[in-house]
Amino acid sequence: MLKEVLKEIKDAKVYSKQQISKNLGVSENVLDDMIKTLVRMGYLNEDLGSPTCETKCAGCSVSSCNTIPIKMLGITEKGEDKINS
Amino acid sequence: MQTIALVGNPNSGKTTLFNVLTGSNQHVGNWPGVTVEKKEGSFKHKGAVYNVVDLPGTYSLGAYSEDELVARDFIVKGNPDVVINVVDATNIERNLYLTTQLLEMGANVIVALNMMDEAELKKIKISTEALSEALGVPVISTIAAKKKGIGELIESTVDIISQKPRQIVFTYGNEIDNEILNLRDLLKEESLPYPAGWMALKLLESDKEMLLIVDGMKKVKDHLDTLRLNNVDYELDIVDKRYAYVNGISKRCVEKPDEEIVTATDKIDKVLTSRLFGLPIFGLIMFLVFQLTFVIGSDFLGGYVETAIGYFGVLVEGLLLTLGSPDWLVSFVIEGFIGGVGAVLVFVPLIMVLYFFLAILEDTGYMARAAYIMDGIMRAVGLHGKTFISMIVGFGCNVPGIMATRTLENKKDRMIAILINPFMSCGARLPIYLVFIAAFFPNNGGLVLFIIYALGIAMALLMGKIFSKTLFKGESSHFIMELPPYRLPSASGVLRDMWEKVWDFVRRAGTVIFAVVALLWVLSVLPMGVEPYSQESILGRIGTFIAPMFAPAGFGTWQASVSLFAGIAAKEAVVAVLGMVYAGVSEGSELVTAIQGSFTTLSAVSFLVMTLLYTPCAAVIATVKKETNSYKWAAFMAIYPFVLAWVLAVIVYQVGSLMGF
Repeated sequence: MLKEVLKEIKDAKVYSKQQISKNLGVSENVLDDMIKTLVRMGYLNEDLGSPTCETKCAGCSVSSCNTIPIKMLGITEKGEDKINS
Repeated sequence: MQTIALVGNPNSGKTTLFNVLTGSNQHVGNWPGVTVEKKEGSFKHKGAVYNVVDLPGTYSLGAYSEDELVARDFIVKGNPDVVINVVDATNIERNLYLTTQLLEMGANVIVALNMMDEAELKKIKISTEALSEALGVPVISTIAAKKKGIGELIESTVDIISQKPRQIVFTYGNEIDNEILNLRDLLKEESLPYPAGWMALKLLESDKEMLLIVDGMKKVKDHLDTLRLNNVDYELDIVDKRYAYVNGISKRCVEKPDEEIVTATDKIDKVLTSRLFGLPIFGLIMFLVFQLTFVIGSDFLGGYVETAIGYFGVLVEGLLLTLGSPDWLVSFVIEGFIGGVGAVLVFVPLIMVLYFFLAILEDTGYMARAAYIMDGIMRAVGLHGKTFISMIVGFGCNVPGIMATRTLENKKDRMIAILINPFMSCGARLPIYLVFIAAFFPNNGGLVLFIIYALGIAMALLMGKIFSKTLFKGESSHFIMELPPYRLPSASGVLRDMWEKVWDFVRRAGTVIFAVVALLWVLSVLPMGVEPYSQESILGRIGTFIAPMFAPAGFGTWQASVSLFAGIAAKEAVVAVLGMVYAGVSEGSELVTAIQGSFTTLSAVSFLVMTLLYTPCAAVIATVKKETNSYKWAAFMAIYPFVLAWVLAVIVYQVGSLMGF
């Protein structure tokens, strides 16, 4: 099932939990857990658009480099290998 | 005394059940060596006392958190007589993953299927008989919050204490099953803190704690090393089997209403992110933002600030003259400081309004859609879709825009994103556009500003395409975005976002721009005896020296040239210098008049193209050096935009002249 999640993500354009969980026949919470597991194992990487600004840079008054709330998931090389295996 | 362990996912009602079972007979401590709370209690049933241990809430029994380690250690080493697995009936699929791991451990499990009332409300039907059959353990329906099913749960728990735990036989496929057996046999030769079969399974899952335990066991370690050398990795397959097992059980035992919920966000997104309308709508929204910025920021608010700065100049000048201040001080304060910094500050209302609208777009969730809409275009030109996020950030300031490229893992993607970011028009460049728009395009401000920003994006895409085909070849990695739901913007969020950017602008006007203006003022009155702000001053001579370079672009005056030169220190300095050298103005309108006299409409357009695209400010170049750790790329960042901007400005002017503009 985890490989199917990787495939769904590869084929998707937007991360629609609703759509992927419907396609796989699992609940959205389970899909969340699966994605966390895949991130932990290094098959996916996840970021929130900006890893910076945990501390302000000197001379910059902006509290966040990115105020756009957007989560992104990417398939790693390991993930690509798994899909192709 | 016999011990019962309570284990379950967070929010499964485990602690409520613990309180119901133990009443006031409980005490709280800590698990040894960790900061995880340990709750213990007891209850009496038919004369016997049972000890109850409330284990930390956890979704699985790996070695990834203290909670997981504490829970599994107690189940394996603490030898509880029964493990009550509290399962949230409304979220059964997720909860059963933990159940599966408990069964793998060979624990004596009873399932308390909790929150059955909420499951009923959600029209989720669960067959406890079928579930019990599938798992091979008793399953009791409970509603702990209403103390329902507790008696039956206690009876069943006490009943199975005397029973031998049912050893469910899991299969992970022949290959993994055989490997578990191989490892188990090797482990059996050693003294172990955990059951050998379970340890073998966890070792194949690369469990950190187990790997530490077997560190001194040569045969086991050698076997694992051999697997690793042969690129054998079963972790995903083992987890996958558990999910498949849970999925199979859920399909057999659980019925859920099959209704698709179409949210308001889905409905809005159908239009706003559609392939056909997404991009035109994005363009239209940005155009409206620029139009509104002019209507509100310039026509409505702008005049007040301009007038206030004018009055302030007159007031300060009067005060300085009354105090008998020397001429140089009056000149510095009025023509240098107020003329220069004031020329920048006059645009605060416009900047405030623009960032107010952009903050609304961000807060509603629309800007995330903009990144999504642009994703296809970005990919088409060979850029990573994430690049647009750093580009949007660059609209505020290119320094954080370049920092935001850190999320791009691929060096190729990141280098391109860094090199094209300065084409995103930052806030500091706005005063330049605004003063030229006021001088030459007062009736089409929104449209002109929109075209300038669009030209910046177009150049970024074009250069991105060129770089991805020449300097940085290779494939971009795939990624998907999770779009946040739309929401009404919060006043505090929008005002905070706007304030951060406006304050940054004002703060820079009072610090960096002031310092630049002070330095340039000195250069504009030296050497002693020359006419201040004249071509004979040091500043005038520098401008005169570089001016011929800009003559083909139509703005080969020493004033325009020196303002561009100052803009490399900070972009706001372009307007500050123009304000100082043209008129020593205390009112923006004087600067506008001076510019109308020195530029033609065509040379103004050419100048705008130049300022949009030429060398970014010193802070951006320093950031490029820091982020790429290369002087070469920092130098490239300083030179290539200048060459590009100059070529385009010359083309605009020369072609425009040929066409009779």
